[in-house]
Amino acid sequence: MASLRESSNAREIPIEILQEILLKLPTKDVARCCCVSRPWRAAVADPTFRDLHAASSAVASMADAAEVLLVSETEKSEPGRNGDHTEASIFNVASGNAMCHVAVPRPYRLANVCHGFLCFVHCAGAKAPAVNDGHLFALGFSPATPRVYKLFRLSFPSYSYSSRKLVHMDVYTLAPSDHQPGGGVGTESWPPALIDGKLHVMTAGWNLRHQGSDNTPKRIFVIDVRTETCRTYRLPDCSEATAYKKELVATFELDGRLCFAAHILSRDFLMFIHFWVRTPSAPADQDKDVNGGNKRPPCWELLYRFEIEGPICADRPWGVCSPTPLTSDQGRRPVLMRWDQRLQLPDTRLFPSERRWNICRGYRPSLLSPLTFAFPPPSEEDGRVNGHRFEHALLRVLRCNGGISTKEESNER
Amino acid sequence: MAAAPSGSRTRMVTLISKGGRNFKMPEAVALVSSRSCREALDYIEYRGNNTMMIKLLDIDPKPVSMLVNFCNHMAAAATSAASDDAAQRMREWEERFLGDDVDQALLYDLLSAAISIQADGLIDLVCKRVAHMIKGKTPQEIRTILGIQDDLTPDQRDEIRTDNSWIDI
Repeated sequence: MASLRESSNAREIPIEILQEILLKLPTKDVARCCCVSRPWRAAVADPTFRDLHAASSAVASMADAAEVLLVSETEKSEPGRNGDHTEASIFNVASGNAMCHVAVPRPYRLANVCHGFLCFVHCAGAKAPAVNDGHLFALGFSPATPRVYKLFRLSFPSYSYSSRKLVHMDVYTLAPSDHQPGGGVGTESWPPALIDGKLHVMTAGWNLRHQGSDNTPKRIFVIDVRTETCRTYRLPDCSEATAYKKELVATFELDGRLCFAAHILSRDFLMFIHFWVRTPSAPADQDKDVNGGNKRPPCWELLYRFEIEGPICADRPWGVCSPTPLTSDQGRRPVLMRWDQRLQLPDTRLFPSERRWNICRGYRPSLLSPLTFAFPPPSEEDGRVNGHRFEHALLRVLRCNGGISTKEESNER
Repeated sequence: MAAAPSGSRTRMVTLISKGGRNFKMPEAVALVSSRSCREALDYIEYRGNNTMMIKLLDIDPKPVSMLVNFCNHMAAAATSAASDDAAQRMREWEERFLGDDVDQALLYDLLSAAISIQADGLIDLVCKRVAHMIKGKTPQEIRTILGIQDDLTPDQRDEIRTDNSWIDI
């Protein structure tokens, strides 16, 4: 091992020791350290170090706070290099900056965000031999096994001869493996929420007689990433509505717990918004077997209940971001709704129908770079900057209205 | 392994600092704390006097004495029972060990000494301390704290920003 050598007043730290020090820092600090001096930059640039750091930084105690991203997917047909593709533009909500623009092959769409990764999956879904209905994909990660990312594919057959509804779950780590029976039908409205090493998926009911799905959200399907087992929980009982509507509910992480948010309508007008939080389960629950679900009454606590004044026709909330705003788009006139106010977006030309956007939580940057797949950054002449007018307007509104905590302007340039 | 001595004295390892000061620790302690000692003691045979000498002639006495102090303490802690109390006491001892009077120069000297005999425990502790010192600081502040020269050109700075654009600094 190299030893420290004295050179005038300052001493050089050997690169291996410097890397030891940097391994103990969160990702952002390491990225900042690139700018200290040339030896430091070289230390961080080393791919082995980056790999090691990305693995260790995923451990919960070291993790940065989760960030909120705005991901905008625009379909483009460009002859030439990329052909028909989707351009995914990723913006950091807290700072309002564009992070990167990545070309994604056309049939792929955003599934979920898991730590430092955005998972895009092929829409058409690989047709597995036994099942040919909707698939739900999610990338999962458990802090207990930091180097392992697993892709879960949940397939929901449209009918089955057994009396129980089956969910086929395929887990891809290095090789595809097993099937696990579960219950319920998936819904694609909401990406699965990854909380503390478990994936939470909202599932709808299933009616044996009609051999179809009745599309009412009924249960949360929880997959433990590390053990690849699963269980289900009932959704909270709601006194103010008979059932939840599929498009008007969301599950997401709130301060490390699963939060279930629901718009409660009365005759198509938004009346209430409920936020339920799952309380930690009692130890005895751990022994419950997979098939029966939770036999005890589900442990939900109603955290917030907001009454909405004035008729608001909300047909579909689009995204949920931290801490509490719930965004919803009202068709022709885009309006951002927080739980306590309605924020008017500046008048931007309506985005074209080939564009989708999503606000995704749970992103924790790691040192592994997505830039291998990136476009060059947009320049003024390119016209692409104009193409993001809607996103810029949205980010401005979110920041100015204090919806998202903003960083101080004194960032070092 | 070294041959067992016929004498009854404990074998010692001596570190010699700048200025010829000697600091001793028992061989058992050195075996636990220092990788170089472990490797060396595998093939050194004791003859005559019962001590192995390690020269750290470019390091001041104070860091060397702190190093020996650390090794002795670690070895003692390793033998006592592990418990939450013991862990807490160890943490408190480490805080006092690298207390406010340890400035950046002393820290570097300590690191130097630890690296020379490959005392992994102390290397880890000093690294943690340095990481704590620079966490959350801007690059300029880091340079001030650690006395590092800024040798990056503006072009290189821009390059760095682009290279890491997905991490929102």
